[in-house]
Amino acid sequence: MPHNLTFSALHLYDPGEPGITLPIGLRCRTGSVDLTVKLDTGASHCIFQRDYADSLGIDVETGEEKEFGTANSKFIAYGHEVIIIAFDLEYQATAYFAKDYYITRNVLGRQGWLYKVRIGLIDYDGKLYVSHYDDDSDVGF
Amino acid sequence: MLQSNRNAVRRPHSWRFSSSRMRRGIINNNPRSPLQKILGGTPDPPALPKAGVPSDRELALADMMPDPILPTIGLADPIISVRHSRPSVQTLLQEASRLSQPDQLELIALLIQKVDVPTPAQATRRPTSAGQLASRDREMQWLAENRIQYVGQWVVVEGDRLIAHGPNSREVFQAAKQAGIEVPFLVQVEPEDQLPFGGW
Repeated sequence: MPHNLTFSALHLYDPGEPGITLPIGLRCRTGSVDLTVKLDTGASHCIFQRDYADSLGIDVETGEEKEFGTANSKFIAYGHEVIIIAFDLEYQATAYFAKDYYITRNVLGRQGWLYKVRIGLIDYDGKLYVSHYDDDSDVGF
Repeated sequence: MLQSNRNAVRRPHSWRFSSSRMRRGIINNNPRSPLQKILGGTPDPPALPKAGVPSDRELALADMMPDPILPTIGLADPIISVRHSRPSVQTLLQEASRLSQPDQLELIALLIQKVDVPTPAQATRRPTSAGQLASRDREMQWLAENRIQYVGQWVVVEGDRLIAHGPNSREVFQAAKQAGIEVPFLVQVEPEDQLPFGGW
């Protein structure tokens, strides 16, 4: 049985790069910064380098402390309320900023972003389709 | 003659008014409670045609017809304009104050229910007041073409211009702000031959 979906945005990324890279914006009361992140369906949360918290003027350790596990280790990050802007979508979310500067990954994970959107991926072509998850006009089952 | 004509053209106004009040739940002659109709929580039940009573479709068509009594000055019928405008909070409060106490309590409960129910994404979706994300296509292109010179460094790129770079993200960010960049596009340049990302 075929299933059809339509999306409001298409992002073209370089399939030759490691990871699915996309530009986003982080906004909070104290500052704004744009950056690139990897889309990571395996990440439970949205996690960013501590440097971005510094740029935003966020006092990292005042946030909610959370321990994250990776394939072979774990690390600490702190959650802060920010606005994540990607494509034409803008969501308030808890972003986690790594405690240690040596964590150099920036990922959009499930909590805070993926669960709010609907995505279609054609990795071979470097195409990422995105819509707000309940955009009525986009539903085409 | 004139009087008879006036009566004839006033009828749609009369229907329109009563239909408007019915739609707003003030005249409650259908199973939906007035509060539900005010809140718009559930759809109207299908109207059953009755002899001598105009159907909703007829009323809607009548609403769209210009009123021959009013001067044709190119403006909409003021009654229609008012009816289609969004009711103010004051208007709703005035109407609510006329309700019985049980109905007011029901209204409160329904309003709370309506406010509490939004989906997770609706609750967190924000207006664009925080600022739109500028297209970063040119910056991404610049990074792809120039990354080898700045591997490991923090860079701020605006369009196809390098604004600042260095090993310290905070200093690079501040340099960009001082250069007048409102929202710096700040990236730590990854090496081309970086190990594949294993995910979290």
